[in-house]
Amino acid sequence: MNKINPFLIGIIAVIIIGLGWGISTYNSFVSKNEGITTAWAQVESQYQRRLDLIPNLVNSVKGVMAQEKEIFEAIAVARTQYGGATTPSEKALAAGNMESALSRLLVIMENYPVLRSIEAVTSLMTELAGTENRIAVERMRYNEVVRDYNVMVKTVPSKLIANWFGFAPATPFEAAEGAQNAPQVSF
Amino acid sequence: MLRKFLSSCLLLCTLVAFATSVHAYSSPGSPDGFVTDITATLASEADAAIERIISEHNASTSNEIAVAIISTVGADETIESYATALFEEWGVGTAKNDNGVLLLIALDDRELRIEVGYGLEGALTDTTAQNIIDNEIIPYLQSDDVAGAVENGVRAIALAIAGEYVATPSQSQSVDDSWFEAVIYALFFIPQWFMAITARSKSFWAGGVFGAVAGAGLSFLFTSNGSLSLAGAGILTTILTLVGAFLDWLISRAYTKHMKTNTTIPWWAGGSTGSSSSSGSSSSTGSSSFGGFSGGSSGGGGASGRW
Repeated sequence: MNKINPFLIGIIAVIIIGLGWGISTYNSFVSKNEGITTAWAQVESQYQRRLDLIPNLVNSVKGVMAQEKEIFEAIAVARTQYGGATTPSEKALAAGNMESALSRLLVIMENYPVLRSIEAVTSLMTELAGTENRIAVERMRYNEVVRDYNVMVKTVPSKLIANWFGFAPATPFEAAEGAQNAPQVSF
Repeated sequence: MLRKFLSSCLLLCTLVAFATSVHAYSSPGSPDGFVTDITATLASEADAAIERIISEHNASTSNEIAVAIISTVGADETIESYATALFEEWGVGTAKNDNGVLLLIALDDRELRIEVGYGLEGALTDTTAQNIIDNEIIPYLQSDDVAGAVENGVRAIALAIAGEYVATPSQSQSVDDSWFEAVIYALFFIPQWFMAITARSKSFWAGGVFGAVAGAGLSFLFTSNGSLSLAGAGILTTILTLVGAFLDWLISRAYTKHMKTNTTIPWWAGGSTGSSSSSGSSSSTGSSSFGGFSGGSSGGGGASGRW
């Protein structure tokens, strides 16, 4: 029986270990990246939901709030802006503008107590409040996934694999002023 | 030297403690049934009656309705964020359909929320949930009848979500069985097979290679689903390599000794002693006690109210 060099075996073992580690790191980068995409899609679908609710809300309050032209224009501009946005960062920006226009509308609406007795309005407000909360939840989850991924991109030794295969850090949602407290819909 | 090491350990522990305390959410603990009342407000008969309503509903629809009564959500949480965190922790609803609903009541805050799992958002819309809160629950809470509020609320929720899913019997049982077999196989047959091979090779390095391959495989499995860090994977692989080499050395030595003294080879080294695999005690307790929720998730749907 011809002897096998133990040194050679050692090298083979190291190669196997290194390869296994490299592959598993690469794969977990890919799956985490995929997780970020999914989480972002969840955020976007809630944005879309809000976008779909707004015309209904605007139509149901327009009659009572006829003189508040300015705010309805601001909302229309924000909607158009969101519709034209293509990249995630553009969408996030447009959604932020939408949020501020919407919260202004909600503040103004408090001056019209008569709206409270319209069932369509109260029901839309409930749906809107629910949507704001869903957006907050999905954003939080998106940030969690991003944080998890970014820690892996930025720490040694997984950083090596990230550099080799070009996995760049992802951008989390930054809390714009007052963004963490979504528009209060206490109507 | 040792003191330095200990103090750095202590520092690390404090850091970890701080890191976790960033999340201000404080869990009410694990659920002790569909109804979990940590304030001890509900009388035990009322608790049992509501429990019965929910378990009957659960038996026919597989929907899971959780009721949590707490005193406060804490200063840094809102009723919404608390409800989402608690829903996530308990996993209300089945993992497949996300058909859970959580009714959370914070007595001292005088706030409540119905949090709806993803799979029931169509049946129990935000508006429906709001109506249940305003018309079925809050009137009772205003007259301090918590039991009436919960019972009425649960009935209304159950009515709203009744037609959505149908329970499929003994679904979870088959999953348990296959798990059990896989574990037995992994624990018993694979090591035995491994030992039988390594025992016959007189060298010890083969075990080391086996250990390395097993370590790489396991690391691959656990890091890809995120339950093991990469540093951990490296350590695991190294340890398994060393353990494999050591085991091989031990086994090979024992095997050689047995061959020399001409005694029977022990079963673990591949001898034929009719190693009957004991068919493990099937731990089916048969009792219909509450076994926890089934891993459903929610995304902030539902409605809140205060009284």
